[in-house]
Amino acid sequence: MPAHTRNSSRAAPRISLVALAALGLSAIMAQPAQATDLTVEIANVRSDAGRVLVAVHKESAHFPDASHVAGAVRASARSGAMQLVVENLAPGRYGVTVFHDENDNGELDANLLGIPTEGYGFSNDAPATFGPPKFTDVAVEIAGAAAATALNLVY
Amino acid sequence: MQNRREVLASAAAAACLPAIRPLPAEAAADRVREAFEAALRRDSRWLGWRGTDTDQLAGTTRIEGRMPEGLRGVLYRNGPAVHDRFGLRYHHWFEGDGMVQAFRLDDGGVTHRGRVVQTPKLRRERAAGKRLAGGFATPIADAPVLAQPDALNSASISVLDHHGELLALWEGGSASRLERATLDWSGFKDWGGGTAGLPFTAHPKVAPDGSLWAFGYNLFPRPALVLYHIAADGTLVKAAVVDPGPLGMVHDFVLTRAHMVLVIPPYVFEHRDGGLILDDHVWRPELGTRVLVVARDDFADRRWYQLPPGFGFHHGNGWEEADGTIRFDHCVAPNPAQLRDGMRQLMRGEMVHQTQERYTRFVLRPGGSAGVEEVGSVAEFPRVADSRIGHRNRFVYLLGAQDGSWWFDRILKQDLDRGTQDAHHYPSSQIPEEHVFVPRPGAQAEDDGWLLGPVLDHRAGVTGLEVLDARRVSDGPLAVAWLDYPLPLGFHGWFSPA
Repeated sequence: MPAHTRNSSRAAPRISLVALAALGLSAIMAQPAQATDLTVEIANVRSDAGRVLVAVHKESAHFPDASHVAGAVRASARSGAMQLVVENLAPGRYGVTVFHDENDNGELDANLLGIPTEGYGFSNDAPATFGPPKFTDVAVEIAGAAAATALNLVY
Repeated sequence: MQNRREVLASAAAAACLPAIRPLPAEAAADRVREAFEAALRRDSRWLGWRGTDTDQLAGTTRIEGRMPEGLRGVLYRNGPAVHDRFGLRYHHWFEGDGMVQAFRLDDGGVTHRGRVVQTPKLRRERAAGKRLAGGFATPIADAPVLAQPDALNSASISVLDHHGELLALWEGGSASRLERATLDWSGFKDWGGGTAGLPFTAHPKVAPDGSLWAFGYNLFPRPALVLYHIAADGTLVKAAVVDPGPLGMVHDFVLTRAHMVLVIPPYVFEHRDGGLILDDHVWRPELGTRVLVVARDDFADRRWYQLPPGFGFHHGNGWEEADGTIRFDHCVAPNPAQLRDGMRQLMRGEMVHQTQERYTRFVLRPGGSAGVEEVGSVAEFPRVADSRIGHRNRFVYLLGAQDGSWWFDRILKQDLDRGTQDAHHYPSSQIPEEHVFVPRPGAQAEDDGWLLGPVLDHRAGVTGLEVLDARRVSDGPLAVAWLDYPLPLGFHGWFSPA
């Protein structure tokens, strides 16, 4: 049986979608006094396969950082355009990541060089050049009753 | 043949890359097409670099001479072909979108089908009506930021037919799957095991046991080499990522019985924000050429060797002696002027650069020393009998040139045992492409077979598929199957026997 070896010490950290979703749920239960719903408009969803996950990150030194997630939501993928809402966010600056987990394995798959092999996008449609964009490029100001950001998935 | 002293004495001077004054971006974009079209009006030789306006070609041929019995199958070839489209002529020969040619040889004669590879890059550009993927050598205003290499993939350098799968090869990104009958693009090839989207060379090697060996180079954000071992049944056996030290483009490698040999020239990618990939390559002869030798059965088993600085694209073959001494060949020049300057001049219709690549043999000794063993004539596009890959070969077939000439005007058969050379010189009306060796079915002798490759008759404006007897190269072609249209000059190909 052929052995598929990976040089795992070199692979970029895998971002577990399940872990991010769990963090999001516990954040939502906290119910802050002033709460904003963030609408995320997602375009260029390639297929109906698997699920799309939105995670809203507070500012950190290493965006995107799974330990700084303020809210998350996931839904079955729908080809074309989708709109997901992350509810009850406290006022502040956030960066949004979106992944299309087409094979539904709970992971954003990446190759041996750490380049994602599934679709992804960032708030403000900030581009990623061989690495995630800087927090300042993705930052969305969240305040008042509602906020929104739009992005295209890149595959 | 030059002697060693002459080689070493001229090496230092020749390694210096002549300074160039880059044209301002705006002026350069206008001048390239204008200069090229003026050159083509004056001299029909430039027809080979005009490129194609049409995405599909098909035709029958008129055969001059007699096609040999037993030569049946399809010759696939690839090369950058869409040089000028959407209002822009690319500045460098490497940038054009690939066009795969299929010459079918059967009892009815020779027929041709050609198809520009409909990559995601080309489809996005067609939808936008302009070039979008910049980054190699042509500045493109407002080019979108590229997330990963396959966004730029033009699938343009070669073709591989392995385990029933036809692949167009690029080198900066994935191989592409092609439909055999239509040559339609049907997706990037994922070999599995975490290799999706990784760079895959245009010069993989199929060993006599059918196993497939390849590598890829990654420049940004960190240099890396990827190694692939794929079984004869097309499944990935293993892949590994290697930290290569200073790295730039690496086009080809050598497979021996027990090792992969990667020759890394000191043309190093040093990224600057907003820089073009080729312009960000810096010639660092003080590093010398570094050679990575990896064991085929264990990619963690690696040695490094040091050679004098040089730049080359291609290897014919290499082999190992019983004591572990490795010998391999390389068409190598003292500096990368051909890549940096020559291939840009061709796009402008200039004949300034002189081809300097010489067919050279190198030796890597078990004790760790390495060096040049023999320097031959100016030559490129080496091919050997596939049955000899990784084992000592007696013959190598190449395109040759008059010293000081800007392109190739002869086909050479080098006898490495006797040190002799057999040549066929083309008339000035013809420009040859790489010829591949095809063995005669049932042949035993290494050179019992044919050389097969396109020739462009630039005066008549037509391309033909030429066949020579590999045992009698100086007799000239046995046959040429002429199309009634020209094809862009291509790079590399693969013969699939019927």
